[in-house]
Amino acid sequence: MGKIRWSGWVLAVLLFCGFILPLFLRGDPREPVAAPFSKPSWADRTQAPAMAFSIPPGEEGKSFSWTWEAPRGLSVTGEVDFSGVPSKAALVWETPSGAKWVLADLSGQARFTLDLDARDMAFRASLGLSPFDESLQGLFDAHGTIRVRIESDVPVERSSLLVRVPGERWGIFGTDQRGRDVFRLFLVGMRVSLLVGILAVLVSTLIGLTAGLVGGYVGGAADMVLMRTVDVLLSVPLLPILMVLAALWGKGLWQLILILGLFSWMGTARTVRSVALSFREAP
Amino acid sequence: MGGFKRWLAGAVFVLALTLPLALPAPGAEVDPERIRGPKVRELYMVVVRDPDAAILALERGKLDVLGDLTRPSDIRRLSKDQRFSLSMAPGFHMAQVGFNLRKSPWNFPELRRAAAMVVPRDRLVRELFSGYSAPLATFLPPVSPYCDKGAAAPGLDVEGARALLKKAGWSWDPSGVLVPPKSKQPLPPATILSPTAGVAPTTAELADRIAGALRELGIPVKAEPLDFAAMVQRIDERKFDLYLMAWQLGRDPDSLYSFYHSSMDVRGGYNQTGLKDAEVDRLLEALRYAPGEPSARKAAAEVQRVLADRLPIIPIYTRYSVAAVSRAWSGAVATRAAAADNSWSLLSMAPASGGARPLYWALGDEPKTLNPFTASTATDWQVLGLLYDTLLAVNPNNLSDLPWLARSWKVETLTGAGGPRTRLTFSLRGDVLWQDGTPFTAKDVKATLLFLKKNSIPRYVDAVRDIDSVSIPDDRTVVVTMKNVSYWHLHSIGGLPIFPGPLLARIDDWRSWQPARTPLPGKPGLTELYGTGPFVFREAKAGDFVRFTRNDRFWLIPR
Amino acid sequence: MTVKGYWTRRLGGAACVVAIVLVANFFLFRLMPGDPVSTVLDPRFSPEAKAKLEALYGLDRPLGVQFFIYLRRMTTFDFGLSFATQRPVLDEILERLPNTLALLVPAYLLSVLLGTVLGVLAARRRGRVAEKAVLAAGAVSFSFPSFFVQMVLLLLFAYVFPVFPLRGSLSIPPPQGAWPLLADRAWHLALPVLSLVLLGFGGWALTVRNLVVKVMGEDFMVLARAKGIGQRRLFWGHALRAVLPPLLTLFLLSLPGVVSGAVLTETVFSLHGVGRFLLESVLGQDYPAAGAAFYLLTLITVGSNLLADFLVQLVDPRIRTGGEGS
Repeated sequence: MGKIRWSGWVLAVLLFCGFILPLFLRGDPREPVAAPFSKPSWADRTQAPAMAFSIPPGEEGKSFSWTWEAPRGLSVTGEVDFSGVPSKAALVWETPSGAKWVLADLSGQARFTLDLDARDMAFRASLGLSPFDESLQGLFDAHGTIRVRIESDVPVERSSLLVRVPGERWGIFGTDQRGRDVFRLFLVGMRVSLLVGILAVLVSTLIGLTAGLVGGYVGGAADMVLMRTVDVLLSVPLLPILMVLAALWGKGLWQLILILGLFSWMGTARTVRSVALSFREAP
Repeated sequence: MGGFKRWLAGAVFVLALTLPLALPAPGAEVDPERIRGPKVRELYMVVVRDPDAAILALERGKLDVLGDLTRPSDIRRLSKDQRFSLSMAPGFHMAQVGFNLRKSPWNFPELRRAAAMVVPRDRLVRELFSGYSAPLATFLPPVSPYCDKGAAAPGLDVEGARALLKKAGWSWDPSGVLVPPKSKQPLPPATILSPTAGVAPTTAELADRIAGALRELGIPVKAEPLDFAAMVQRIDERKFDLYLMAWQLGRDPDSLYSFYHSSMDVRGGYNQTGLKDAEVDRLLEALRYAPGEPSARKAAAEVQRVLADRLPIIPIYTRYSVAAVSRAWSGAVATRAAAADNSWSLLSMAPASGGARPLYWALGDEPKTLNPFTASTATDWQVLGLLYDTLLAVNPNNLSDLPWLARSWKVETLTGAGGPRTRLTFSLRGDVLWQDGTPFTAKDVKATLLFLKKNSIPRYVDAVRDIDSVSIPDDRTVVVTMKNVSYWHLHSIGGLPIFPGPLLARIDDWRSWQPARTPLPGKPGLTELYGTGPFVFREAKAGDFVRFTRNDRFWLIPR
Repeated sequence: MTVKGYWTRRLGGAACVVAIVLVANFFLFRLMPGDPVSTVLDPRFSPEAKAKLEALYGLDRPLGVQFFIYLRRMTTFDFGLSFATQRPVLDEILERLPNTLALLVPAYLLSVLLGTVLGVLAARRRGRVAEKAVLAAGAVSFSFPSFFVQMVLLLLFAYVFPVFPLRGSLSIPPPQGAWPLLADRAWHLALPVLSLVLLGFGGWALTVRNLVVKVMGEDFMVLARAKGIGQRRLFWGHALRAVLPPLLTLFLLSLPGVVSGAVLTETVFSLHGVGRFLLESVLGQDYPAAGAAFYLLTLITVGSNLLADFLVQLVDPRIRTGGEGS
């Protein structure tokens, strides 16, 4: 048995990454997982990792320690139920240096649904940030302990509030402009590329081989027709054909493979034909 | 950065999230009447097609003004750079989902309403645009002076949507798909047409997410990404269920007529949803043929209220326009209604320090043609707009009308034989010169209007079709009598570029006229491409740049 | 079969191909979804205005009439006015052609030259480090996507180390005088040409190396070697002569692809060339422009096919004129 060459190993690794690894991924790779353009998690330790806390109903709220740069993202979602209608209630954020922010005024209603997000222009405006200034210096003004709690004059019955900091570092390759995991996208993208590449080449080789053999071996009118077809296909503009076909067949992986295969067999056919010719004429 | 530290510990800051979307004013309100310019002596409009290359060129100082920034990553990168000032303004962009009302089940109003109630606009804007767009619920972009902010599609309320459908007799089959009232068949699968991810990545993903939200409600839709032309064709052939499309609208609400009047549900018309509603038709006619501003405004508001009830479309979001200007220049005009890449900036910008130097302004594409009769792209008009003036200008603060070549104007309704008609009277400025040195008079305006009407040029045919007669009692007054009554005639006529009359008389084929390549006899350095505008066209190097110099005779430069 | 008979048939075949493509082009663009008028999306444009536009483009006439106008235009090389610019299509193409040639000719020649030199080098140093290096470099060059390489080059050599300009084919403002202007053009073209060479040489290096290696193992080479012909003469005299015909064919056959491959380069470097024109006229449904551009491209393709056949025969008369029949 011959030695497998290094290119064989590369192909094996690619196939493994493209077809086997994605099987172990859970969830949709298109879902954002961290802040946009997060760095890889091994790269910059001064950036915050992704984190999430629920805020318990009690007076104490939730405290957590903060030892990173101010992040760009923050969201608070969930519901609060008071045991009565509070005349004065608020979701309060206490910063490490002691400043106190009211994230939401909860007075006057027994039940609140919150959906705050630092990406909203209104949120940035109310923090006094310009629309272009994204880091939340006001809420994360120093390293230390941050406390988030519900302040009210009526007891809180139930709270499902969740504070989420999407973080500035994530995964092996970080995230893209929409906060999606680049590594996952890479794996899924590789699978598509490999699938299209391998199958399209298979289709085009099959067609090219058949056409070339028929042309070279049978010859005559069949050869003439086949070779002129090759000439025409090499000369007709591909882009409008693709657009017409896409409109007729719709778009999808299989259509793509078929179209690529159907329009790239001409070179193979020519080569195979010349080889077939030389064999036929060989003594 | 340190700004927050200055606040004392223990102080309480309230995040006032109940405020309507408040954009911090990027610049103070400008007084356009006070602008005296242009001060830029030489202007290059530089063609940079690749958005990444444009950012690099800006950072290397090869560009001074770059508009149409849309990618959050670019905005973020430039905002951190002290050499540039960014400005942002809501624009006339409007993305919407349209229903095919000709077809069941989209002709059920309660289904459309419920669908509108499950689209999470806020979340979409956050996640797809990092906040650099605004959720949209109105039927005109909110920056439009005629937008009725009270007439809006319903907000996110998933429970409400279910309750609404239940009340109207809808039910769900065991797999969660909606079943129409008095029927046993669940809704058949449907698709939302959208551009492909290759052409418009965010729009394609938006369609996908909207489809997901509708599926949650029990409407079995999937996104169907299509090549743009193919998508338009499917919509034109009425072979669709839903579509997602973005429009760039104008200042006036007249687009509502094109979108929703039943007579526009024809080949070439834009009533794609196929809305046929007697009340909407009546109000749209009242809007189109309103005799004056107040009645136009009233009709516009009423139409929007009825539309908010009929919901032929679901408004989704509107994109902000963001522009970056080098701090080496001062005087850029950025307001609540216009980012800094506007023509007012070109009138008032000047080097922040030091002597005169050329201004480099980015063009995202190359001008297709510099023939003002056939030019159709926005890029073409970025160039041509500097050469030709209009009778009226648009106030950059609030988009109202401003005197320009016309010092003042009057809109009257005449009654008499042949029915009522609108008469526009423009009193022209007396101090305007053409770039070749001859004075601008009412004769030029008359020649322009008659030329456009006589040749029925596609681009102008809608504006001048209804002109009945043009008279010029004296050199400073133009009276345009229209064939019918409409306040919008003021904007159609007042917004036309005015061409030099003697030149028009010499053009024998407007279609093949190449003014930028024809030198003006006896005027070295000038071509037939000249107007009254603030800049003089000098040369166009195809694919590279268009060069202008200041029009030293421009009437806003103190003499 | 006589040589003359072969060429008559060959030319007849080529004419057939041109005719088929000509007809296909007409219908293909009209079959493409959408049309030049319906893709105008502007609510301020009424159906009447659209009808006017359609008449202006001549699209309101019966299809048969349009077809005959089209045929007349193509055969007389007067391609009519472009829909988008309303200028004669031929003027538009001729205006852009020098830019594209200035980009492609040096880029293509350099990459073929570099590829051939490296390919021969690799073939002569079989099994050594030099061959492995060429193979690796060739594979990398061959497989990288062009826009990525070009963007990285732009970032490196125009932004981080601003040695080359970022965009376009001219400085703004352009320098005065003929020589400085020429130098300025060359300076602007350097990076695009470099990128195309980097992307293009790999395929050539791999092909040349494979051809030479294959030829070296053929019977007649073994025979020649047995006859005691020296290594050097064996290589330069026999091997190279044997690989020349297929190389020539490959060179000529890849010409048309190079033109359409210029599209991305012209976009990244903001060049005003034929590649962009091709793409824009198809996407913008500009029938006269797209028809003319692809017609010319077909002529180039068919022409270079014929030329390839002709030259190959010239170089190597052993190749039979047969193939069809015989």
